[in-house]
Amino acid sequence: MSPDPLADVLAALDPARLLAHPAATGAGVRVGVVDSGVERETLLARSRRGLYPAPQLEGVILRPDGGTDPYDGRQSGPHGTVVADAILSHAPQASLLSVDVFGPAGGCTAATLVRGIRHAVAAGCDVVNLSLGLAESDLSHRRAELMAAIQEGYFRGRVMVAAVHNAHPHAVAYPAGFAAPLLPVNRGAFESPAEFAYVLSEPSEFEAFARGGLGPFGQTPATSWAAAHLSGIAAQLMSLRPGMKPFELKTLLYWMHQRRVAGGTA
Amino acid sequence: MTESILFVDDEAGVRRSLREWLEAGFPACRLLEARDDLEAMRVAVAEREAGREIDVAILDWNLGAGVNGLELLENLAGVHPDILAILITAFAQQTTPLDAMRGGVRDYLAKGPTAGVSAERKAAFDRPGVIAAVERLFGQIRPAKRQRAFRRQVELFRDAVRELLPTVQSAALLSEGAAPSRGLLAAARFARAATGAGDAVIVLREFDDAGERVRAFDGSGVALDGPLVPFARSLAAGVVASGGPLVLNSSIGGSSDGVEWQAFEAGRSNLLALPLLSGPGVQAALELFDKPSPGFGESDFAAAQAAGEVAAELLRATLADRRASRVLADAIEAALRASESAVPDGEASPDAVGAGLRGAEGGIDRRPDRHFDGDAAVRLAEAVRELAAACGPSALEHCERVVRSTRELLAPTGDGP
Repeated sequence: MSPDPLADVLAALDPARLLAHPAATGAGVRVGVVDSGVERETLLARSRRGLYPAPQLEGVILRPDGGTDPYDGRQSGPHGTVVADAILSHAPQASLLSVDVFGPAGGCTAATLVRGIRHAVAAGCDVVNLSLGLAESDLSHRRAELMAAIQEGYFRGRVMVAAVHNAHPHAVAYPAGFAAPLLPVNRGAFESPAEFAYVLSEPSEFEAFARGGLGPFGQTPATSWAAAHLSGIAAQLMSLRPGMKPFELKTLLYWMHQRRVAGGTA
Repeated sequence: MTESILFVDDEAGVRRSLREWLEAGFPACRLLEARDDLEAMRVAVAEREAGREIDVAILDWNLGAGVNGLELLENLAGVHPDILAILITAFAQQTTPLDAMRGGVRDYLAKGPTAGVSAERKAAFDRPGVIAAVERLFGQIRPAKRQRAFRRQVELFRDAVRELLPTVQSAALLSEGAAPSRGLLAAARFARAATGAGDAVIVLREFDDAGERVRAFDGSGVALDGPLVPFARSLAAGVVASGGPLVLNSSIGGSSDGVEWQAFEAGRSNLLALPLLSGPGVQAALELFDKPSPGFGESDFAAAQAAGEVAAELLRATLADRRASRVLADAIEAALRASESAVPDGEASPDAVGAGLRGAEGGIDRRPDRHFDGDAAVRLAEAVRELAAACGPSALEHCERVVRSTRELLAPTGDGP
């Protein structure tokens, strides 16, 4: 069997080496957290414990009536804070934009989700994390609008990371349902979020979940945390090579996965 | 809306002619006839008692027995206040137009010589003359009649609403603070039994303009005492936002990074929480506690989720019922307010409002077929008479000049309406 001519390329894409690179901090990368808001004080408390530097955090609250409220450093629910924590655990220097699509009303509609995605893209987020999803029945007539918002972000060079439903493929959540899962996450491969692993099985079959690191929610494996980990890794890689296009990043992630499989780590 | 016409004449031939003309000209009208004032009053009272109006009276001036048409009209107006009349007479000069108009006469038909009757009122008592006169009156009557009918309908509606409103309001109020339905509690009990949990709590959060209201109920539907933490920092908010269950097989309490434990959660061992409902303004979660060690497992997820789906449907139905009651109460209150403002005392029907708007938008309505306003004419005539009495003939001449100049002012122009 002839040797793989790209073996050297694959060898260079060692995840451990790339993600441990001193510049892979997420510096210069802006990550939008379209979720239930982020509790600033919780993240500051984590930074005081030395888990990451004081976060660069801005935000906005989207009301269901179409209006916006200024970010007051509070969460509408703990979910978004766990997501933000997972991102910072990988990319501590990334700046975060909390786009609270739950707001005081506490529920996210398709219309608000579309607005949230567009807001994050317009605000210059390089990575947009969507650890949430709506069932087909909740999309109603906004299915095309939601897909257009995702495509708009993608074609503007933004990396859109959406969590599949926890019961995937038995249950489908959107916007993740618009595409086959790219990088399923191997549940329980590692106990520590820092040792987060991603695995692509053949064919693309959703395989697993990831754990978050924060609070009672972080203890339960869920695709929400998997998406956040992936957003953090994307921010790390984008800080190594600013301006990387989404398809380049996806290719890199795929090759890194190949390298990991070849290295027998998954 | 059917008009009715009463014609009164002591001559049978005249009555027969009138009936033929009116049946031909107004086939949909209700025709009533009488040969003298007594019979006319009997008919008028019978109509009133039957809840029907007489719109137009065609009265002979000379009814015999010393009673004239104008006097009969005064009596008829006592029973049918909105009645208008056409007077058939050769003696129009025996009453002033002003007195007649005040009494409700809007037209004259001349049986014989017409000396003393103005040119506008000199129509002949024949088929075309009668039909034209009645049509003119109908033109005046119909808007007012529609207004009266509208007012009656609004009053009926208002009475019905006043009767209904307290019932709907109390239904809405009763459901506001209601405990979860029996079905919801049964679903919670099922989840508890199926998972082997020691206890179950339903957390319900509602948010509206008045703010946030978070309540928690035990498995019996009893509201739990004590203050609850803000929903945004609660475990329930977390499971609602994540859309999936949460399992903590450990002691509950202590530091929790972004989550504040509720009083009913702290000190428990092992927890399974799952969202029941999430929508703008309403969220609900079910929390199961105290399953013996090693705690909740994979199989409990499925059982709890199945119960949760049933509970969510029941909760949706309950909330929909409550919303319906609230919306209905609001709608009925709004309708009551609207009905009170739509028909204030003394006034406008939709037609009159529309006419007013047309006037406001396009200036004075100069259409030649615009309805003649008898009351306004009476007021004008009285004002002129008072002026003449006070100032003499020169005042009358001045009034005539004003009328002429007003007529010129309102005369249609080439490009006018």
